[in-house]
Amino acid sequence: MRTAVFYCKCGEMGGGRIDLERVARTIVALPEVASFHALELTCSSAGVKAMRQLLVDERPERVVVAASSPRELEPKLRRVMADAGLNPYLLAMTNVREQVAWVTADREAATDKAIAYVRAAVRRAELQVPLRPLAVETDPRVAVIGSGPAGLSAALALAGAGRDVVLVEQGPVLGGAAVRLDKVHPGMECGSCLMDPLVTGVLDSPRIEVLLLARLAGAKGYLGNFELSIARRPRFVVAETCIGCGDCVPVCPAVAPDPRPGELGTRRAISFAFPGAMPNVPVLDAQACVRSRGESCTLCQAACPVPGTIRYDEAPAVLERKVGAVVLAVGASLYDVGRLPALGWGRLPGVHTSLEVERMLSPDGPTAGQLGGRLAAPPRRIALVHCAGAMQAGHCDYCSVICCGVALKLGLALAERLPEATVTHVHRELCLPGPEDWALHERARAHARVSFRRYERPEALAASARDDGTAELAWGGRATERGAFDLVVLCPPLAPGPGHGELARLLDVGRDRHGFFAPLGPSTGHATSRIRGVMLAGTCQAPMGVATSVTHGAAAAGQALAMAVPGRTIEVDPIVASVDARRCSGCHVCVGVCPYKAIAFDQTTAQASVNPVLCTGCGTCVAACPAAAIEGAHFTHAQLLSEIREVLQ
Amino acid sequence: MSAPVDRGAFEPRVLGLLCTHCAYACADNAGATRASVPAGLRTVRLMCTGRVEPSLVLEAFVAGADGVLIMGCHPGGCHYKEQNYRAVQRQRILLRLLDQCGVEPARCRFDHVSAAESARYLELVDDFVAALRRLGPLRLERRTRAHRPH
Ligand SMILES: Cc1cc2nc3c(=O)[nH]c(=O)nc-3n(C[C@H](O)[C@H](O)[C@H](O)COP(=O)(O)OP(=O)(O)OC[C@H]3O[C@@H](n4cnc5c(N)ncnc54)[C@H](O)[C@@H]3O)c2cc1C
Ligand code: SF4
Ligand code: SF4
Ligand code: FES
Repeated sequence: MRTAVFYCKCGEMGGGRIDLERVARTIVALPEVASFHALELTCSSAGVKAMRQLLVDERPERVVVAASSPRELEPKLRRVMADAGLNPYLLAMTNVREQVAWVTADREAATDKAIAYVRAAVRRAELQVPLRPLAVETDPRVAVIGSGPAGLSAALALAGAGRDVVLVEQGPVLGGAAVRLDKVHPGMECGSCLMDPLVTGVLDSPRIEVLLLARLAGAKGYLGNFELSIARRPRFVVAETCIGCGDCVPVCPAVAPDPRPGELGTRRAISFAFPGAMPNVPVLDAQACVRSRGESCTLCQAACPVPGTIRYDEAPAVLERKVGAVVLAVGASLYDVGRLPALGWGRLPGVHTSLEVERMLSPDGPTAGQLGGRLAAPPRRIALVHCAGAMQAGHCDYCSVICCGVALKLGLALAERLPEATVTHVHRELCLPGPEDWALHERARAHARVSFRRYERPEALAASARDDGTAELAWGGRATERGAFDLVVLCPPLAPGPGHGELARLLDVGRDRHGFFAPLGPSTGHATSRIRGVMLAGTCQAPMGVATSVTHGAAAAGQALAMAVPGRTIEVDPIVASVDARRCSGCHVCVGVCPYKAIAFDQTTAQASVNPVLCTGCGTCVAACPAAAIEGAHFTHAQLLSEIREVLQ
Repeated sequence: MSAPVDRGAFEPRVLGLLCTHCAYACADNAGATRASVPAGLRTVRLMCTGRVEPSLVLEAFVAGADGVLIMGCHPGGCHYKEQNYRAVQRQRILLRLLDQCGVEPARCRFDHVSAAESARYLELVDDFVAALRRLGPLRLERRTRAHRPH
């Protein structure tokens, strides 16, 4: 073996104490070492140039560089290797600076240690083999799951970049939680007006296939090559021919309370999701329809002016789509205040959630903007309870950032709408991030009929019925810490939605301790999950407002664009695991330990195999395989063992 | 800080198996502060502590280590999801195995450091080396210091 050793003097320069003479003498004497070069600064452009030239001239079979930390330098030196026409994986690096020269006081001991490290790298290099990155074809199409602000923004950005998008939404309309909001802080636009450009942009885009009433039912594959099965429920109304006249709705005899959270009114079996929501096509709820009870009603079909538009025989469908990347933008739900029975929701007529009040205030809402709901008369004394279920172990053990803003917004809207009413904010911490939240808070403080009362302990919150039908709300033990209210608005935090667990399982994306989808990194990897090719956007990843969700959607789209580029293959790092079929005993252990589901098991041959595209090279399966059938490239058992033995000399 | 080297005293040979993302980065940072690390500590970089199989540790003792220190990211901080939890589980088995092979389990430690905890890293190393000094050199019958891989 002809090995060239490069020794960088940067350790000495930083005040290290190593006898370079002795290192050189000892290393050159090793049988496999053909040359030894002490370089001034390997990492400088001059150093790199000198090294490259020496590599071209000497054409060594293996290269060892003893310098600073490989964490920074190795990628650069691998490129130098490739530049010089050598396989980058025939380089072994050892760190004689931070790990030896700079931390060893005694010159003799430092020199001994440096020699051990360099010799270990020489022996390791001998066992290294040329590796080549794998090239994988990628499908440029992208699936976006969820059509709230985040999903719409992602879909539009992707389509704008020329990508075909399939947008999968479980509901009958686009726009997510935002289209249901009366006014959106900070701009105070109405929710559906605010979302309109995004919604119409998506509906008008020839590149975006919109699948409504659809959910992910299965997922296979990996970055660049996902195969998705999407289950679609029937709408029973043909969107292409429906003219949105609404003649079908009033004739429907099946009227029942609206089961959707936040909606306080009744709903017919055939109805529009929300007035003004798009697409403007009704949907027939098969369970609510009297036909589900065997009756032969055809009233809506008879009322419809476009024959063939209402079709009672539409069947559920499963659609298969191939995509290169997936953006998860499935949003969040408000925490279920039913789990805080002391607060009286569902028990006391005056207690409502922020979403219910938001819907009552909305002119498009179930009460057409009137403060009806379960209230007998317009309320005069209103309390808004901040942080209902937030920052509380056993409920939501976090602050959901947007709810103080929502409470302040609703408080001001109620005070303005009801000139007789007083509004009391019963708050814990006040979370006012950014200048606009602070300004909103200042406006509320300045308002003559708005006041603030602080509570310390969430356990102290309790609502009870008074004889006059109003609610008695207590937020502490003292007489001054309670009051009678006609309307109590509970402002709960955003919490992971009910379907998140299922999606996490299907796509194998992890969730954080609260149940939100876990990002790749807490600060630098926010829009990506830990599964390559699966991006995260909006409130399914963490609580945030509309503006941030839209930005997050664009960020996720950018990540998807960078990952799966049309006509370009993905280069996969060759430092991956592989199974030796002759040694695999079919025990299944590796399949279970791989955090990236990179190991498939072939039932017919009873053998495991690693998908190199999914493998991240962590090496866990290598360590776990009882038959020692798995080898981790570039960190093989033999390589590590020889390194360990040599450094210990 | 560094004590004067007493050439007569027992200097334990310690193998440090460090994951590149946290522990090795931490050792680099400790180096950048020019702290003093016992010369007997010899580090080997791995992608993740999840890669550490018991046989590597056993071989290290055979090859002359008086102690093996495995260090990775904090629980929850592993760069490959939860592999360091697996590594911790494996460590328990490893310690039992060592006991059976006549190596005091105290000679093998597993710990977590973040890249920013160089002071803690140095403490952990010093503490381990002090413990090994008290234990004295490892005596294994099969072991030969001149063990060669080829
Ligand atoms: C009462 C209330 C008031 C608010 N007020 C404000 C405000 O004033 N200002 C502000 O900035 N923000 C406000 N917000 C927050 C705002 O609604 C969110 O920031 C925003 O809607 C988040 O966008 P998103 O796209 O992440 O999720 P969402 O808007 O929640 O959209 C997610 C979409 O994904 C769909 N989906 C879910 N699961 C699946 C699945 N498995 N398959 C397919 N589709 C699925 C849902 O049906 C939904 O359409 C308020 C929220 C509430 C509840
Ligand atoms: S009556 Fe027919 S055309 Fe009119 S909204 Fe209903 S389904 Fe559409
Ligand atoms: S090395 Fe890690 S990521 Fe790759 S197959 Fe093994 S366990 Fe999975
Ligand atoms: S990457 Fe550090 S322990 Fe897994």
